[in-house]
Amino acid sequence: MRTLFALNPLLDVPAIAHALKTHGRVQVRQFLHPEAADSIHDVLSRGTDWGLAWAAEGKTGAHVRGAELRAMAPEDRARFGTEAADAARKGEFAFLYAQYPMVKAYLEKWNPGHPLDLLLEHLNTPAMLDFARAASGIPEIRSADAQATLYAPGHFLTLHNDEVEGEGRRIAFIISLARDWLPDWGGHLNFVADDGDTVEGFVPRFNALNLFTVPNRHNVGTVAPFAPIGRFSITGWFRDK
Amino acid sequence: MSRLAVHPGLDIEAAKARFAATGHVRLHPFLAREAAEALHLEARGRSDWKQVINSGAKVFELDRPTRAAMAPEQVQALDAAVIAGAREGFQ
Repeated sequence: MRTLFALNPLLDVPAIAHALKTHGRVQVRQFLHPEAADSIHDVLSRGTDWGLAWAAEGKTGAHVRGAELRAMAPEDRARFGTEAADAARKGEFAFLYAQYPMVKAYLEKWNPGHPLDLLLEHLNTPAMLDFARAASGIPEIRSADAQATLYAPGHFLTLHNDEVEGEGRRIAFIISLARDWLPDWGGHLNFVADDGDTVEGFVPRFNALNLFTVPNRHNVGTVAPFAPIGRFSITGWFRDK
Repeated sequence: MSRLAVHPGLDIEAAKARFAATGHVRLHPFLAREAAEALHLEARGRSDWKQVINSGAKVFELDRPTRAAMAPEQVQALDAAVIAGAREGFQ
């Protein structure tokens, strides 16, 4: 059986910690053992019942499960995209992307034993949390939450800083698992200055870890209409509670 | 109509130094306010915008009457061709 989760043993943790401390963000290439990256990619591309995460004006964000989406009329499904886009056009916080909410699925036993349940457990093992504490210099980190995300053409996440009082979010993480992604296809994780300029943008990659401190102003640029299906990631926060 | 005029506060020397150092530069504000407003209004007010599309090395221009006269299937086919072209090549 293939490994589902293992860190690359050659990670240069002091260098990662230095970059994160200096810039508030860092991208780590070849983060996972190659076999683990392949395994998770297989799960996301073939074994995940994707639902939809969306937020629009006056709606704080919701998950619609895959079965529910499939039962809807096309015009009802399209409404999520229209409402999210309308909010984004007005400068409101909005998002639209395919999602598998790993914590909710785990706690509510949607698919007991699903590889994404096991992955959530792996993200909370001492090996991973020790890495997070060492990379961030935050010894108080105690847990990781996670969701699987797929940004398809037209999907986006508008500017925000991740800070939610009482949530204990200390470091955001994104394990990027987009194979052979081209910059023209969009979907970058952009760090945005107050004047709107992008300070740095991380292109979706295969087997890269993005880490950044919270709060930190960022967005996910809209995926181009001509991009293929493939911008997969596992994302969440390392928390102190 | 306002004359096209650059902003009186332009720091050309600073822009020059930055361009020399990095290969790119942005001058902001670039035009005098009245000139920028006038140019913006002019651009907004025109109806002779054309859509420029390439197909490989060939470039096509579609004006508004041409676009408006296209059947929905033609628009869909054109969009599909552009999207397919952009996925892997220069579009």
